[in-house]
Amino acid sequence: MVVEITMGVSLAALGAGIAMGLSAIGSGIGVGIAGAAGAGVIAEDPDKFGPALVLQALPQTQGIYGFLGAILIMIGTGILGDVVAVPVEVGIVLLGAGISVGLAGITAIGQGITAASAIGAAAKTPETFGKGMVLSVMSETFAVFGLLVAILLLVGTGLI
Amino acid sequence: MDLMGIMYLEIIAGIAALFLLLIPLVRVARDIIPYVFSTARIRAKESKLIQGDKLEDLITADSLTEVFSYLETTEYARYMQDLMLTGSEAVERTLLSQMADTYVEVAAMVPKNVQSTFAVLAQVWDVRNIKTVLRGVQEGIPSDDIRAHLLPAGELDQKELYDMAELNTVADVVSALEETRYAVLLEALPRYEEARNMFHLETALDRVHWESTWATVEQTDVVPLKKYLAICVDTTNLKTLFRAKKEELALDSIQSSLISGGSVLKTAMKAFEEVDVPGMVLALEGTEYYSALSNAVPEYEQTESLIAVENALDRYMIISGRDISIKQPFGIGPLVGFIAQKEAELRNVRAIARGKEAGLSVDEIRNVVISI
Repeated sequence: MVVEITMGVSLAALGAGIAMGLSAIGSGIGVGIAGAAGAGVIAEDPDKFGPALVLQALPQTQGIYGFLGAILIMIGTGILGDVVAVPVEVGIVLLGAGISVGLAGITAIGQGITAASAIGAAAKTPETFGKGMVLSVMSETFAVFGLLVAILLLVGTGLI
Repeated sequence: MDLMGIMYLEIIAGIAALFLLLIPLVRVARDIIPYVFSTARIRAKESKLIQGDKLEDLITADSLTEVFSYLETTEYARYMQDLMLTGSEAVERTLLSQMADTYVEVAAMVPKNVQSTFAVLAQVWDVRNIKTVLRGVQEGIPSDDIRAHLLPAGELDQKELYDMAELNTVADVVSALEETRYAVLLEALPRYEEARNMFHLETALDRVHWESTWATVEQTDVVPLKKYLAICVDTTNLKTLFRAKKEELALDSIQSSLISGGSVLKTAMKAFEEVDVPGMVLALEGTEYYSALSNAVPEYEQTESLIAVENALDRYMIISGRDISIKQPFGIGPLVGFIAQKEAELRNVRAIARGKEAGLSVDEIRNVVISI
């Protein structure tokens, strides 16, 4: 299958790239920060690997949202799946959808910082693991909103 | 340029603007990342501190043997092998050996801009060792016994310290330090010889240590570390002034022992003009130390002992260190807080061991322990 590359499709592809790229930056930095904290804790107490791993995984979700947003854009425009005509105006809407998911993915940096603190807190007082998890998940809300807006834009334009 | 071209340019500009948004985020991450590993590691270390319920278990232990047994279940266990000392001295040796390693570990964890401060801070072991030698030589303690109490963890190596322990007089020990950073003891020696009071030599040593440490942070912008060290300097100066007032010494005779630095030196020197210790405390109103000190005055008036006042200052210093750790969760704060809490642990367990050995009651021991 060969997709006809129109201006609309190009803009949508740009949106998909931004969705995945910015989310990946956010998740990469977030997971890196939490991972450094995890390494610090297991250097002292290797038994704390489990809680550290769970908290380190939290900032990865923004990357998954970015990936999901990008896939939806690609399916909607026919880059993957059935070919559809994508006018420039729709392409701009899809670019907006990609930007929404991508920028929301940067919240993973904040989540990584919170997760790093929660890893430290759980290392000091193991009972705080659950509470630290709740605090870390808070940043996730805005990443979910970003993905939701992108899905609504795709639904609104009738692409999915 | 046609409309499409303009649109392309606008899209490229928009995407470039998006990436510019990342710059402040990268700056935030850059400030935090150097401390993430060390902060988490310090938190894990804090879980092993003897505080709260663990401390209460030690306070209520039936005997010194029980204290030993407890310590053997902690990370102190490996420092308890091959001890040449017995009783509370063995506990103290264990605590100090572990503390020396802690300083080395923490110094290795800190970022480069504060490494020099932590390196100088670790030279506190030289000060402790020199004080041990000076006291030992003054009391005529055999050199083997003095050696057993030394812990070569600073700049002065084992041979230098052991050689000093062989000397016969305090003046000889001071002369042996002539080529080191502690040569300033030579200036304090005449005052020591006149009064035979170790106070002059010990405060001179503290001065060298804290002035060297203070010099490394004075020009830096590492505010939490600067604040903590200012409190260390202030409490050392205040203790010197309170001791001098209690021993009815003149300000002129101790002025050279006061550390330049900190935040209340001028006020404290002015307070020294008061007739007694409670008067000095009152004159410190308006400083951050007043509240802590004023609470200790009734006990001082009852016991006529400076222990209450010195405990109040120690407690304030340790709590300030812990607060810095809480207020700045990423950065130098947790490292400062950990050092403060570790010093509290050392102080508390040593006090408990000595208390158990001396047969003090649980309440008496609890009074000298700093709970945070």
